[in-house]
Amino acid sequence: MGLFDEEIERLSAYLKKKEENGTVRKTKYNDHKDWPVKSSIVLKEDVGAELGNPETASESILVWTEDLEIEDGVIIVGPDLSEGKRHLPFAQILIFKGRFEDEYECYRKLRRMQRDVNLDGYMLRAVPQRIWIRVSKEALKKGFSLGILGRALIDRFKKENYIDAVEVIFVTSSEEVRELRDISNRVQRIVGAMNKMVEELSFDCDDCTYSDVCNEVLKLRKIRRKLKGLGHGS
Amino acid sequence: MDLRHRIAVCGKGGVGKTFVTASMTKLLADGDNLKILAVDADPAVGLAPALGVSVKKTVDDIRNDLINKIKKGEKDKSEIAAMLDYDVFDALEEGHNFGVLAVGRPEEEGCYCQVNDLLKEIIESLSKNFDIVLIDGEAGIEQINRRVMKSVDDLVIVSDTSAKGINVASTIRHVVEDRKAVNYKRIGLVINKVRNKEEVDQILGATSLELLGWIPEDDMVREYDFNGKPIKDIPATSPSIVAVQGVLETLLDGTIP
Repeated sequence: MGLFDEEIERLSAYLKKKEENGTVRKTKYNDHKDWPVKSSIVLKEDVGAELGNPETASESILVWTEDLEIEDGVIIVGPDLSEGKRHLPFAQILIFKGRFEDEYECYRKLRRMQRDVNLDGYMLRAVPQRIWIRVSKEALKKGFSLGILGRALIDRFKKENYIDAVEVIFVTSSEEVRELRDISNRVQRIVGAMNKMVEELSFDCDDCTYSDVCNEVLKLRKIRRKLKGLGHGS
Repeated sequence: MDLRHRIAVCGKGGVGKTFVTASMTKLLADGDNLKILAVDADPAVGLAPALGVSVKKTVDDIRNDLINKIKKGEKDKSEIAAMLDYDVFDALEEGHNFGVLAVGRPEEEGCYCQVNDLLKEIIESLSKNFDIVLIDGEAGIEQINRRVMKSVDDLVIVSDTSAKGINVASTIRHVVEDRKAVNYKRIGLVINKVRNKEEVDQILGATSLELLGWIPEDDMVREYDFNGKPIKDIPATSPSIVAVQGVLETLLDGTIP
């Protein structure tokens, strides 16, 4: 099993449950139009919609698989921006299908890329596990939607030849965002374990706070063996 | 309109730097088609209240929080930059057409050059989204370079009519020129709390600094100060605000609407 496959399966189960409740809209990449590229700052009085600000629930999850089936598309759980609510909780989930040989570098590159998407009237601030976006009143009037944002993200990521497909999931209702906390924490633990191995080159499991997650995720143990095989650490 | 103009205001304590910066911010923001970033680089943090907003977090609070996070393990430079960017935007207090960022005072000793440089990069990058950046500095001009940005368009030295104020203004100019403390295109003097034109003429005989304008002593400014009312609420017709408008016109070459 891949580094995040178990969490992707949990995300699928989450979506299936939401579909049964009728709160999920699945859209295709081509359902959404292109949007002009421009680096923007959106000040409070120009805000048409604000999602995941530091006072509201927010999650940011980035995972990939080499084996599971993933298709390009944008899935929205909860209201879209056109539905009138100015402040919304927010989760952005990015699931990639492709080939990820250097997991540590891939994770960093993909995180950087999600911050590189500049759209007119859209502003993003992101830290691990939190994402905060603002959309200007003018952009909303012109029809900016989460679908358009999803398409722009897919366009950006698919410029990389190791990415075959990207599924973008946006969640905009409190309960549904909160339900993602466990998965988000788990992904963060996996990434933390990988970072620790690569950055500290320390493979002493007795003293490691990530030994639980390494015991459960086979791919982490493979990364560990690979790093040790390269002559790093003891 | 994309002016991207940067003005730093400095001078001896108590001469009215914050009054000048806050009045400039008010005049430009009231114009309705410019976005202004006002940076309070004076550790006394007086600019935000002068603009009628309160500061919940300073850049130095962010810096110290981040140093703790780095000590706990985050090492990736782009991730650290993203964290700083998130926190700096969260710390930005916003009003009508303007944002205020307070730099504050460093609390933790030690060299964290990477964090300091990143913070400066982030302030620079944030400022690119605003039409005009106004920096309320302090007498120690190096602080602007070290903690906000290394280049400005205009360096405005404010002084009152006292010999001490003018001496400090001259010293600031020498420090800037000799030590290349801040890069600038134009440097000049604004004389504040002037009682009559003769005072200005006398001062100009004793300094070679270009006069950007002078601001008359204004009872309304005293009253607002005394009662703790925001400078931004002083009517635009008040003589001191009219004088600041004149300074802005000189600096921006008549490009402000």
